[in-house]
Amino acid sequence: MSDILSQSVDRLSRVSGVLGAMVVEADAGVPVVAEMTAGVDSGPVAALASSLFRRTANAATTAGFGAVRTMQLEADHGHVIVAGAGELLVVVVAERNAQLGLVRLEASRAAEALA
Amino acid sequence: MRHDDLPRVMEALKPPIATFVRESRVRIVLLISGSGQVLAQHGFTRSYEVMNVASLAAAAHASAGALAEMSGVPRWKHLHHAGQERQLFLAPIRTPVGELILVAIFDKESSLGIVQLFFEQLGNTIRLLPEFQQRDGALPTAATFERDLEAGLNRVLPEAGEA
Amino acid sequence: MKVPPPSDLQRWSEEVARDPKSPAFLPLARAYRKQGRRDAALRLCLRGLQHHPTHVEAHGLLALLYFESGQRARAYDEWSIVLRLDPENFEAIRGMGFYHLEQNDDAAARTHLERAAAMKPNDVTVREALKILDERKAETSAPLAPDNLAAWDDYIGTAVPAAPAARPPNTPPPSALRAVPTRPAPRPGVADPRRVFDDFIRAGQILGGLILDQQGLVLAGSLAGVAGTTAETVGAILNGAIEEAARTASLLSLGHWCGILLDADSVQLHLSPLDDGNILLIAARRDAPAGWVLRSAQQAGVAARQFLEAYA
Repeated sequence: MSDILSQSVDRLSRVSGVLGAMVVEADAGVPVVAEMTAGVDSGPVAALASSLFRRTANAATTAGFGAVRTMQLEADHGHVIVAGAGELLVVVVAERNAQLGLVRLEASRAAEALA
Repeated sequence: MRHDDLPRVMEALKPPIATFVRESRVRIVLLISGSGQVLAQHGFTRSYEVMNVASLAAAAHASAGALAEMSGVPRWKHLHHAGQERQLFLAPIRTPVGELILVAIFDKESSLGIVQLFFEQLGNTIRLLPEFQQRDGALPTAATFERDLEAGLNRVLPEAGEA
Repeated sequence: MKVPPPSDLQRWSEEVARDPKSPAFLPLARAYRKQGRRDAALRLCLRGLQHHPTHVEAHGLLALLYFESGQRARAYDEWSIVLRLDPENFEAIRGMGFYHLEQNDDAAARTHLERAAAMKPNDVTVREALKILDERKAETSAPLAPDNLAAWDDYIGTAVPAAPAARPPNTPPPSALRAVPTRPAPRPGVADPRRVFDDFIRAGQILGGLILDQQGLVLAGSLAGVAGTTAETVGAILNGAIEEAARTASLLSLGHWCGILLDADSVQLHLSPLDDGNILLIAARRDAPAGWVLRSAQQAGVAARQFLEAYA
């Protein structure tokens, strides 16, 4: 299992424009495995991304839209992509001009492998 | 911490504690001095609950410190207990004045990661407060523990119906 | 203008899909117009102008599209913008002439049409319009401006411009100019706020859309096409998530949040901020490509802002 975690994070971190990739324990919001570029702290990213995913997923489910598989937060200076994998989350922080299609694809694949 | 300083210190702690509660979405917070003086609280309705938790938190912290020493580690960053519905987070905040202990209880509205994140910010804020910049002289002793605890309780729960 | 070959259409589509800022939006929009896909042409133009606000030809095409769809006042606005950017623009001068002719403002119509005729004496449509004015002057009833604008197509090229037309120095941006011209007719708008996104829904771009205020109350839009929920429920519930998104972006030093894209079991949702704390929510098909959903959200955002400007 730890191999899959590390490999998933490694693949993601190699995508152009990715500033950091991690697998997060969904309930606790703490990183399990992380690869971040210098200056990007995995702790806050894990906590905030998992909290956001949980709140939006709960809201979407309560509103009748079903379970949320992936979430993408777009901001002025970057993106945060979260893919659900059961008790784990795949979280990626990317630059504004990152190859988002590839990031989303790899994140979804990683989530499927971990779920 | 001397009695004279207590009201000023507690007043100074209100805004950062309020921010911590709002941002971390914890249910209950208790901040005590190393000697067990209650400096701030949120979410308690009865003073005896505060007393109990304060005493237990001080004891748990002391035990954890002893364990750390025996394990050869300088200190623990925090203690975390995860229950079915609620979780407990206990951690020290070291200041020039002395050590404070924060106890936070949260449910699924928050998470350990979020509590840790905003706890760090809380600690940084408290350490910058003027009230925590200088040592006040002699540290309180065990003999003054209950008196200090009572004084603290009377301030944080002035309208508590039950002692 | 003939319909361009499919290979050109594909090439332009791919360019625009790859880079929303690509100037290829203009020939693609023209092609859509020629195919009768006026709504698609309109949306493409509006989106292209977001990135190229001083693009004279794009404003000109938008004016034509508005005129053809009966939105005369908006067409007038666009031609006004064109003339501020390019005072000698023939299409805009001619368009203004037709607009005034239709509004029975013969003096203004003549001014513009005679100027257009001086620029292109052989233009059939201008000659016809001037004839109408002469007939009116002779106190005979004259038909309104011709609806058939096919002849105008002869004057619209198909080449992708190398760069948008440069704005004359010290000229305010078009958004500022919009407030300046006096409009003889009121701006057409949406009478029923639930129908703000009807065009997008009819075109199959989205299943539904809502404009929410900062308290989670529904200002406009509808989710009638999305099963299992109501607009009010969605607005109320998603408000908390929006606050979380703003906080997350800020605390991670990513700046302001621009959008949230959710891939859920039954739909895709996109939330984005509008002005004054209002929020746009769109729901799209579950199998729609993410890039398409984001694009639809941008375009719906333009409609939402126009609605808020006009009515809120």
